Amino acid sequence: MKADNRRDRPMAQLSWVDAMRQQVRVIAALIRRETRVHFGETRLGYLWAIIEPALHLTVYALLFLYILRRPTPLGGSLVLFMLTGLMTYFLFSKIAIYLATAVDGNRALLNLPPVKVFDVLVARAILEVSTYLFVGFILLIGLSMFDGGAVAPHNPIQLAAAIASTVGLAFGFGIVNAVMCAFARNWMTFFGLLLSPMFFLSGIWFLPSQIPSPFRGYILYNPLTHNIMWVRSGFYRDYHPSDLDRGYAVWWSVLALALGLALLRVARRKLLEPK
Amino acid sequence: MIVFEHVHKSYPTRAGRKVVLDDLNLVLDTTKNIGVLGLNGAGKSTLLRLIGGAELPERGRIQRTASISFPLGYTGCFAGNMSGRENAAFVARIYGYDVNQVVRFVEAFAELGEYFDEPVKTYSSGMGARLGFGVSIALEFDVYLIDEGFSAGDGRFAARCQTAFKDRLKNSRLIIVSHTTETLLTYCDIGAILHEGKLHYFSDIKEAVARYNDIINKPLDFQ
Repeated sequence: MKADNRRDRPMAQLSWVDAMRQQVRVIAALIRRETRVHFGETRLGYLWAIIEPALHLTVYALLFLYILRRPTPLGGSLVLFMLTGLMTYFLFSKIAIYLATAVDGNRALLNLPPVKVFDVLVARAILEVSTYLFVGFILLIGLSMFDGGAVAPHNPIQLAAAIASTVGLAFGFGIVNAVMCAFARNWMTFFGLLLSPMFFLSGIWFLPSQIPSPFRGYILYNPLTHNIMWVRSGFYRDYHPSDLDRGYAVWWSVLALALGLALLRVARRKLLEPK
Repeated sequence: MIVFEHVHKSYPTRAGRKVVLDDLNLVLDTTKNIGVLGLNGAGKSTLLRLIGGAELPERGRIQRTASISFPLGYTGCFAGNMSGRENAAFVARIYGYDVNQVVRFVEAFAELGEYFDEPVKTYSSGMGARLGFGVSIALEFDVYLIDEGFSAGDGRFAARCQTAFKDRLKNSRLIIVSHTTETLLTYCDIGAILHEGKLHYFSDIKEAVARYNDIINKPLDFQ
């Protein structure tokens, strides 16, 4: 059996086109495998990815609707308001956490020289992004059937840009996590400490404009707050928040990505060392 | 050719870093079969990982002009909840081979029967090894890396491995690392000894084996 071009092009002399093609092929194979391994034998594994945010949403919707009796800060549906915030938060946190174990979890695969650390990270990120976009879509459909209201995003381009910014931020933090885990065993405990207040301080459950200063200013340092506002500005026709700074959000994403890639470069030997 | 340029490599142990290669400069001719001898813990497996590219040297660089396999019979990359068929297909995809061809070859070669479609975690160690060898032999490399063991399973399967491998050796070459000399004398042309951070090169495997026997037979120093 023979691979295409194998004899004519020894591994060390791949042209960059062939190298790109190999990388795409490896990432595609990793995604297929990761889907099987991560979500297990049954479809229930994948279903759980939908159930978890849906459960969060139900609990908080009941809390806000029936116990706190709060009106929605935006639009006509409190559930839609929460969904847009919660799914953005999930998109960020799930990628950043899942990538942390990408190197350790795939150590045996990294013994196959075509598989690079970066490929493993990209494969996991793509899988997680597509999963949570799909979950968000399913929940929106479910909401429109249940609520009857309009759930289609008003400005899909703004929405796509906001999602891209959030994914960039998450991917950057994910790479940082993966590298730091190789050096400090307890890194993810630390990251968890950082992440858990974000659940309440990123404007998932409220709008930053409802918060009095100086606290509003503090919350606006959080890039996730801006990403969530940005997502909502893509959903709601009349939402043009004056405190939304898209440039600030993008800068954070770019910086996180640059930091992650730089750490990956510096630590590449350490990451491949067997434990 | 595999070219080592000022390659330095150590790995961490509780007693500090153990040096495997200290400033190695060497050109290995991959038109020959190469046998590397070394005592347990000398760093033979690390050397193989460096040659294959699964690990990177701390200093210096390694250049290759030949395609190099993963260690023959490597089973670590198999996912336990995937079947033998799916795992074989995965490795084929990673290396850019025709998936159907590879899977058909492995199915016939490994003789796992119905188990080929069962999760790998239900396999006995012998069955896992057969799958590993099947996948390794299905893919064609210029150089195969072999860590100690050469064949797997019962006598009948071991014979199949040998036959299939003889066929591969028409176009491919071997790099075998071992702490015993028999296999190396059978298969290898040139030799090297990895000892205390240095890789000593010999253009004749017999010479390498003779020197290695000197090292083994040296009386132990109890001071």
